[in-house]
Amino acid sequence: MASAGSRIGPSTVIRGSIRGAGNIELEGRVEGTIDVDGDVIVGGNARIKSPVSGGRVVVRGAVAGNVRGREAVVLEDGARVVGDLVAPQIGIRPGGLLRGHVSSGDAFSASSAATTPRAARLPAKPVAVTRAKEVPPPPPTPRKNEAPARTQRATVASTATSKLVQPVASPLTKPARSAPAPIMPTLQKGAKAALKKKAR
Amino acid sequence: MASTVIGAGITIEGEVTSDEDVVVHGTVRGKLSAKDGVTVEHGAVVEADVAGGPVHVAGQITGNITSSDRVDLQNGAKVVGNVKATRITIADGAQFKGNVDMDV
Repeated sequence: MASAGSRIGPSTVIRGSIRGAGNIELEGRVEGTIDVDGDVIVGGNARIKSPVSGGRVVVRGAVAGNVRGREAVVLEDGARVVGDLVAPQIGIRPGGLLRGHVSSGDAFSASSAATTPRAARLPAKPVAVTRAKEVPPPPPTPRKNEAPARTQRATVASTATSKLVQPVASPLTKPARSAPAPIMPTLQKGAKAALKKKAR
Repeated sequence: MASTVIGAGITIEGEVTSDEDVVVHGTVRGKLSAKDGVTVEHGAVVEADVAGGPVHVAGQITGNITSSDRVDLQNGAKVVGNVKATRITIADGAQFKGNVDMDV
C-alpha cells in the first residue's frame, strides 16, 4: 500500500495541507490539514495535529483533530484521538482511546452533524466551565444562609421593637386598658360608700 | 525503501522537513528540506526551495536547490532556479534555467 500511495516517514514533519488522491500512510508529524480521497493510515508513531479526512481512516497513533471517513473510521490499539469521529462506519478496538464526539451512519447527516455539534459543543464547554465556576460559590451559599439569618435576626429585632411600639401606639390596647375602667365605675365602691354615708 | 513518499495524486502545501529520504511523485508547494536524499520523480511538480543531501531530479522544480552533496538533473527534468551543490550533473534532455554555484 505504501508503494502504491504516499508515506510520511517517522522523522518527517509536514506543516501545511496534504490533499489529493491516493492512499497515504502517516508515521511522522503533520500539522495542518489532511484531506485524501483514498485510505489514510495513521501509524503508531505518528503525531497528527490536524483534521484528517479520507475514505477509510485507520488510526494507530495520536491525532488531535476531527477524523472523518467517507467509508469508515477505525481506531485500533494504540490510537489516541482528541476530536470528533464522523463516518458511516466507526470502529474502536480495545486499546483505542478517544476523547470526542462520535457520529456514525449517514454520511450527509453525519457531516452536517459534524459541524453543528462542534459549534454546539464549543459553547457547551464554556457552559460547563461557568457551571464549574458557579459550583465554587456554594461556599457563598452558606454566606447566603448567614445573610438570611442576619435578616431574620433583623426582622426579629424589628418585630420586637414593633411589639414595644405597638402597645403604645395601637388603639386596640387603649380600649383594652380603658375597658376595665368602665367595669370599675359599675362597681362604684366609692359610690356605695357614699350612698351608705348618705343613708346613715 | 524511501522513508517518505509523496504520491502522484498528493499535493502538499506547506513545509516538509525530514531527516530521511524524500521521494516526490506528486506536488509540493512551499519548502522541502531533508537531511538525506531528495528525489523528484518524473511527473512530479515542486514549487519550493529544496534543500538536502543528494538531489535527483527527473520532474519539475521551480525554486532554488541547495545540496550538501550532488545534484543530478536527469532526462526530462525541468528546473528553474539556482543550484548550489558540491557536484552537479545535467543529463542530455534536461531543461535548466538558473545559476550554478559550486565550491570551487
